[in-house]
Amino acid sequence: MKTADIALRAVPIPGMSLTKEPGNNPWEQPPMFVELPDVVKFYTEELTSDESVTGIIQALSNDISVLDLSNTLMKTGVMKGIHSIDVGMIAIPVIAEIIKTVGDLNNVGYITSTEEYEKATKVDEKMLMELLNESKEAVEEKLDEAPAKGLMARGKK
Amino acid sequence: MKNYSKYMEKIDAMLAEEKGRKKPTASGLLAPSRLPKETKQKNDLDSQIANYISIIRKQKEDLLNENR
Repeated sequence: MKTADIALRAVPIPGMSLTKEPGNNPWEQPPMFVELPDVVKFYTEELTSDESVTGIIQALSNDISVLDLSNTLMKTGVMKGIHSIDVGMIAIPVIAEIIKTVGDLNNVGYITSTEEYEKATKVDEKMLMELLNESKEAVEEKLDEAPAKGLMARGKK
Repeated sequence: MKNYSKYMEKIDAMLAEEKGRKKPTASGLLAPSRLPKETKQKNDLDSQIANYISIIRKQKEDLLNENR
């Protein structure tokens, strides 16, 4: 058996999903909740359980942003057939707020979104070079000002 | 949600506006507190989200105060 054959077996073949009976997957069924209050209630209960709190704290500690985590949770909900994607998208701010609250209550710092974090921590190269030059000049000035010490040092006249 | 921060700014502004509303202090038959309340309750999605977020924040504050 060639390596190429094995690789082909590992990936789905185009149209493979159409060979199964439609409606077998949870997301192909009507969702459990379609109203926003139901979805919010579901996530409030789910995310405040002990297991979920531990998971959220772990994820936040590993620098996973609140928005990424909310998106993943929401998409998992859609995949499990709990709610539709549109209600899930509407509920994201509430899910994010719950995650933030869990983080705050457990004294865990968090990143709201990856883009914001990158924006906030991005250093302008021009500014960095200016700062480096300034500090270099300041150090050189200090060195010039310092009196020479040692046996061979010239004394002041 | 790429515009999350913008949306949250909007929600925060809505919550701040609600907080800033002064409660009527007058008394008597024609006092604002005796007059019928607004029949049209804000029921759009943004208001609903703002309401949920304010509830979560209030509970968080309560829990933080309890722990202190």
